Amino acid sequence: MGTELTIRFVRNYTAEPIGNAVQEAAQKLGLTVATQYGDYDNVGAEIAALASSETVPSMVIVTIDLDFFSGGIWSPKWELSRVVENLNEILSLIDALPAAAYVLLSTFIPPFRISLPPQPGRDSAASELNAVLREFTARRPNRCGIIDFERIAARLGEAATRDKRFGLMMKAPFRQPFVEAAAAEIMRVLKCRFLPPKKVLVLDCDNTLWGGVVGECGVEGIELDPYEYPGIAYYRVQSEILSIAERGILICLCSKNDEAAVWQVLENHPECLLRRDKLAGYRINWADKATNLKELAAELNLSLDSMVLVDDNPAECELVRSQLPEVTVIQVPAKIYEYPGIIEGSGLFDRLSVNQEDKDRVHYYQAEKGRREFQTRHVDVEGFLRGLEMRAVIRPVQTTDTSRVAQLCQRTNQFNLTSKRYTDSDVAAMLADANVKMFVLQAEDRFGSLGQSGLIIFRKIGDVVEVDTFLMSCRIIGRLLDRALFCRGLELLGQNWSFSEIRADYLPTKKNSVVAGLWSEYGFALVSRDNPEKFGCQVAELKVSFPGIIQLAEHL
Amino acid sequence: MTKDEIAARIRVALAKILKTTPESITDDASQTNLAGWDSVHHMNVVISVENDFGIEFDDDELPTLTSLPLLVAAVEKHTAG
Repeated sequence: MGTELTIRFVRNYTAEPIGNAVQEAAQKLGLTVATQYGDYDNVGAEIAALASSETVPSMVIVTIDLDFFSGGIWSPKWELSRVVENLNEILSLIDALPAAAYVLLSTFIPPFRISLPPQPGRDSAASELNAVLREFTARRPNRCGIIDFERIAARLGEAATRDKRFGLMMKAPFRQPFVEAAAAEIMRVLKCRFLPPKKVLVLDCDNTLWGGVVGECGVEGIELDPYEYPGIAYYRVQSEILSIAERGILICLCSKNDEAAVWQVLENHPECLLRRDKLAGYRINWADKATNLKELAAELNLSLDSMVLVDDNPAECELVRSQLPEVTVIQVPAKIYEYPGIIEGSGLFDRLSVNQEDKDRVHYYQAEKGRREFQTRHVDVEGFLRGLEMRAVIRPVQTTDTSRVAQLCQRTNQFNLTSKRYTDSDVAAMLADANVKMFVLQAEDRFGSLGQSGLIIFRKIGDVVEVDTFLMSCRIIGRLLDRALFCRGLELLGQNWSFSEIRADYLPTKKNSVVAGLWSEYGFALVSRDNPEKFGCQVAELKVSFPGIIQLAEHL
Repeated sequence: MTKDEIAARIRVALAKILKTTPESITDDASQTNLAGWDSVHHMNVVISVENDFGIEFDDDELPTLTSLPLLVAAVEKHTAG
């Protein structure tokens, strides 16, 4: 059984074909999608009703066609200022929707032909209304998004977009190519929200980051140029890679090459955009790529299924596909002018929003390398941890943490006791819930910041406290920071709630065996072997205390 | 083209759209007795049959094409001569 999601279409036309296409596409990815449709042309009232409804869909898609909106664009009474007002009224209702529902708004499609003389109220209606939509969604990055019907229509053209016959006969204005493209755009958003993201982009070098073989033609001889073909194609790809890196995706190199020659390009080539400080890891040697990828995954403490390899060599691509099927492989196309846009267009690195933590991620991994070298010099663990001089801030989650907290829930696989995949909207809902308290851990050591990398969520049920979620980002496992977060979290909890008993779950997954024994270590007793395993403990009997080697700080 | 040949091709189109097998579609299949053949899927059925036979139904015909026999008869009419 895959994840089950509900999408509600609030619409003024027959949107069922789009819903059906989404269901079909989702099924191929193991997502079960149920669709619901509101009445025709009752958009405002539908949204208002949803706001007070008990069952909350995972996603609400508000899609309005100008042919039928506000009396219809062809009506003699059509008046743009009034239509903008109508749209604003609808939008103002969206904020009242339950936070757990993500809202997608489709853009309006402008007429394919302009009138002569122009009719400003009709010809420019779509662009004016779209500006309103864009401004509205831009101010609610974790709550709302756009599906750009206007852009799809521009890409496909009138013949593949508009179904004149069924548009008039059945209020079903879109042809199949448009329906499928719209469904594909909705899928991109669904994937971002409900499927585990790719975290690492691994790149080959010769004929992948630049044209030619640097070991043979030297730094001056490779093709990499902002103006001249074919170098311009690689330049564009590098610029694409930088923008992907800014979203927090880790960039690594994996190349059969002369290491010194590769650094020559990254450090000295005037047009090379990807510099060494952007890399989270690399393997530049003559070993096979499958082995190198496995090593990189181990070094970054990330799983192979979060990795994407880009390589021009069909044999290498095939080797990785067959030996490491978890890794997604993108082969550089033979026609190099088709290369720019392929990595981005794969949708593998789509993100709905980006926060500061994403932007800083590469530095954490670079600092981790320094720590590892330090660790190899220390045999006793205690001495090593003490030498790290860790400091931690543990504080309640605030509204501004929403995106990062949801991200931790979505991404953390190993140190995660219950693996509940909360979204931004869920986190927002819990922030407003008086029976839920959430605490984050932010830490640093002598090598640098460890980021906001731990989360614990408590729920109060009568006079019992339940640990709903407890997770630590994989880069800080084994540092006793979990004990710091747990103990300080409980202490802060005691300032508001009185309780004597704690309950906690462990839900085993393929990846979280590292915490299988955690509750027992903390002094909890196994209550039942169900799935999840249930544990319980009186506060007085806990066997866990705040580690002396970690300094609790107010801020870092 | 015989009636049976037309019916066989329409069965394939119907089966593909309604996610079933051509064999499971009975001779008297209609919007009332075939699961999933609602008005939304009917648009796809119409378009698919039109494309398959290279014809275009008349607009007043569309609401009447509610069963396999009626579709066969309409296709026969458009492909005759």
